[in-house]
Amino acid sequence: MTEGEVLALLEQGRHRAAFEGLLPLFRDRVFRLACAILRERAAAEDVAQDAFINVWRGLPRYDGRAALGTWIYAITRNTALMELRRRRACVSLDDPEGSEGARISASLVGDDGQPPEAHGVDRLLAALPESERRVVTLFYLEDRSCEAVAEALGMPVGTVKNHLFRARKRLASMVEPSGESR
Amino acid sequence: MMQDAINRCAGRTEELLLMIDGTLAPPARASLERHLAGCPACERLAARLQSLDTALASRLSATVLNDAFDRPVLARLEALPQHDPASAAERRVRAERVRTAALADLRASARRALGSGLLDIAGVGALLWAGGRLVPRLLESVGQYAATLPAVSGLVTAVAVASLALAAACLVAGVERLGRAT
Repeated sequence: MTEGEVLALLEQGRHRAAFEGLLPLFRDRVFRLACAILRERAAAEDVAQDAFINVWRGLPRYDGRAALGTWIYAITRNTALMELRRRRACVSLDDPEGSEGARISASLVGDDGQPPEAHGVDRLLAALPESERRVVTLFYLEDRSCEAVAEALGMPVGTVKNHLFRARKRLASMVEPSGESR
Repeated sequence: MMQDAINRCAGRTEELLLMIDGTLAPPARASLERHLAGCPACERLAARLQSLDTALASRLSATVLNDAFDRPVLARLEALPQHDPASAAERRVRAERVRTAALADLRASARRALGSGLLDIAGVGALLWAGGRLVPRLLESVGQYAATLPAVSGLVTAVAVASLALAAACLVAGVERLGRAT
C-alpha cells in the first residue's frame, strides 16, 4: 500500500485499514528513529510499538496539515523522549554511579556478541552531545541520507549537515591514537 | 597530529567527509587528492575518518523489522476502543453545533452589552438635562432650600459620572465580545 492509498483510506474514515497500511510503510523508519534516541534495540522496539499505538489513538485527529510521515515521526519522537526521561529518572534514582548509562550505550543497535571495535564505537558515540549523537546515528541507520534524518528529527537539512560535520570532526579528534601525537 | 590537520586544513575536513560519503564533486575531489598527496597530516586524517566511517557504518547498519513486529501491535489494538467512522462524523457534527451555539450566544451577549451601554448613556443624558434645567428652577421656587443647591448638584454629578463609567465599561465589553464573536 502506498502513502497516498493510506491517506485515501483515512479520508474515508477507514482507520483500521489505513493503520494496517501505514504500519509496514513506517515501521522501519519509526524503529530507527527510536534506536537513534534510545540507543538500545529492545527498548527501541518497545517504543516503536508504543508509538504506533499512539498513532492509532491519534488517527481520528489527523487532519492532513502535516505530511503523514512528519506526523508519525513527531509522535515517535515524543514517545521515545518520554521513555528516555522515564529511564533516566529510574537510572538516577537506582544507579547513582551511572553504570546503567554505560550499559545502555554498550547495547546500541546491533546483535549480541559485538567485536571489541563495536564497543569502541559505542563509547565514542556516547561521548558526543546528544543532538550530534542522534544525527550521526540516524545518518548511518538511514543509509547516509541527510534528508531522511532531517524529516525524522524534524529539523532543517542544513542543521543536520552541521551536526553531522561537527560530530564526525569531534569523533576524529577523539580517536587520535597516542602514537600519532607529537 | 590529527588535531593539527583538523586545525591547519580546516576547510579540507568537510571535503574529506564529503569524499567519504561519495558526494564530493569530481573537480573538488581531484583537487583534494592533489592536496592529500602533499599533506601527510591530512592524509592521516583522511585515513582516520575513513576507518571511523567504516566502523560507524558497520555498527549502525540499516536495521529492519519484519512482519513479526506488526502482530503484537495489532493485538494491542484489539484491546483499544475502535474508531467508528460514523461516530467520528457524529462527533464532528456535534462539535460544529456546539461551536455555532456558542458563537450565537456570544453575539447575543455582545448585543445586550452594547444595548445596555447605549441605554445607560441615554439615561445619563436625560439626567444631566433634567439636572441642568429642572433642579435649579425647582430650588428657585422653594427659596428656603437654596443653600442645598451645591450638595444636590454634587450628588447629581456623582451619579452622572458613575453612570457614564458604567456605560463606558458596558460599551468596551460589548465591543470586545463582538470582536471575539466575529
